[in-house]
Amino acid sequence: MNEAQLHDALGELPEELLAPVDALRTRKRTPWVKWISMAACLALIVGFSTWLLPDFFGGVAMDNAGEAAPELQYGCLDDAGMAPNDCVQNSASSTGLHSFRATVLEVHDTYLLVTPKEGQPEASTAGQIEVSLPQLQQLPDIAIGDAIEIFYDGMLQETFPARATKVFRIDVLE
Amino acid sequence: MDDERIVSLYWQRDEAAIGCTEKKYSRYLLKIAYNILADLEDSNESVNDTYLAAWNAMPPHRPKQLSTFLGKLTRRISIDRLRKKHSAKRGGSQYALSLSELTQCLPGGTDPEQQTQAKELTSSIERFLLSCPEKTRNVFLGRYYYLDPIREVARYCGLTEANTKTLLHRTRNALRAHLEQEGFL
Repeated sequence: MNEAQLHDALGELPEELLAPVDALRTRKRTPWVKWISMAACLALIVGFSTWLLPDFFGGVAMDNAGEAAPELQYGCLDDAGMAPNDCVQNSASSTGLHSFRATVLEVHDTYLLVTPKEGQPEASTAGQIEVSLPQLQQLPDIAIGDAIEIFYDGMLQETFPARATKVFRIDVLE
Repeated sequence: MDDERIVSLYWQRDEAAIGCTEKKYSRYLLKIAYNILADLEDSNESVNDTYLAAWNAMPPHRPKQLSTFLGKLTRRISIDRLRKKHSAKRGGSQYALSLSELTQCLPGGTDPEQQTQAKELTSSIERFLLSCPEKTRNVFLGRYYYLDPIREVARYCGLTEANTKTLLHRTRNALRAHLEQEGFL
């Protein structure tokens, strides 16, 4: 007997035996995940407001030319201390929302792994992108194979796979 | 739409059954297929083949739980597709990884003289699993039937990853002992 025969034998197990584990697998997530998402949403609103309203909050530092300092322009100096040239800017402007459409490959607690649709700038940058989830206001119900649109700050870290860390919204497309 | 109503549509040979099945179970089936194939295009094809297989299977089948019935079809179709397309040891799919883990249940190398009827083997594995505690059974089936990643099995079974790996290791050893006792090895 080989492993493949063992797998085939498992495939013929009766459905009654599979029902309990099937129920566990398809059970909806516990409500507290939503509360954590709401807390992340509140933090995002405060942070986003600071970014959009510099005059009011005195946020973005400006250099002598009146432009945002490079490290803030690229926004890639994270806790790992990545330098600006480790990031790819997918738009001529570092302000405003950017979006791209993608197909979901993997779903994890803190991120999605997606592949961008062809024809978009992100597709020429990376074949697969990790999309961080914690900043989102609401976590939509997403599954493998879903077509989604990701709204983010336009910055992709040049890791492998590439990483979009500042994600503001994800829409599930029909 | 509940499962009983969808199954009735199949029995009435109403093609709306396929649309209802797709609407309710496409994500569920895609995950099973992707665990095996690790390729979105192939997984979608397997899921589409599942709808045809379900159409051909009902009647005469009238499953009580449509999800597990469809999942079984998808699993079989996806494994067949993988075997045809690649060597079973290649790639990073959960199926390939789980194959290497299940080797622990078997003696070193293969004995071509041992001819096991698949049905008898299935019955034996069923008896083994019924003798295990429910949590052990769920962990084992989550990993080796549904081919979910270990971290995901740990999550929905309420265990840590380390505990899940230990439990799987012990269960594989126990399964091996059981198969030896029943004369399959």
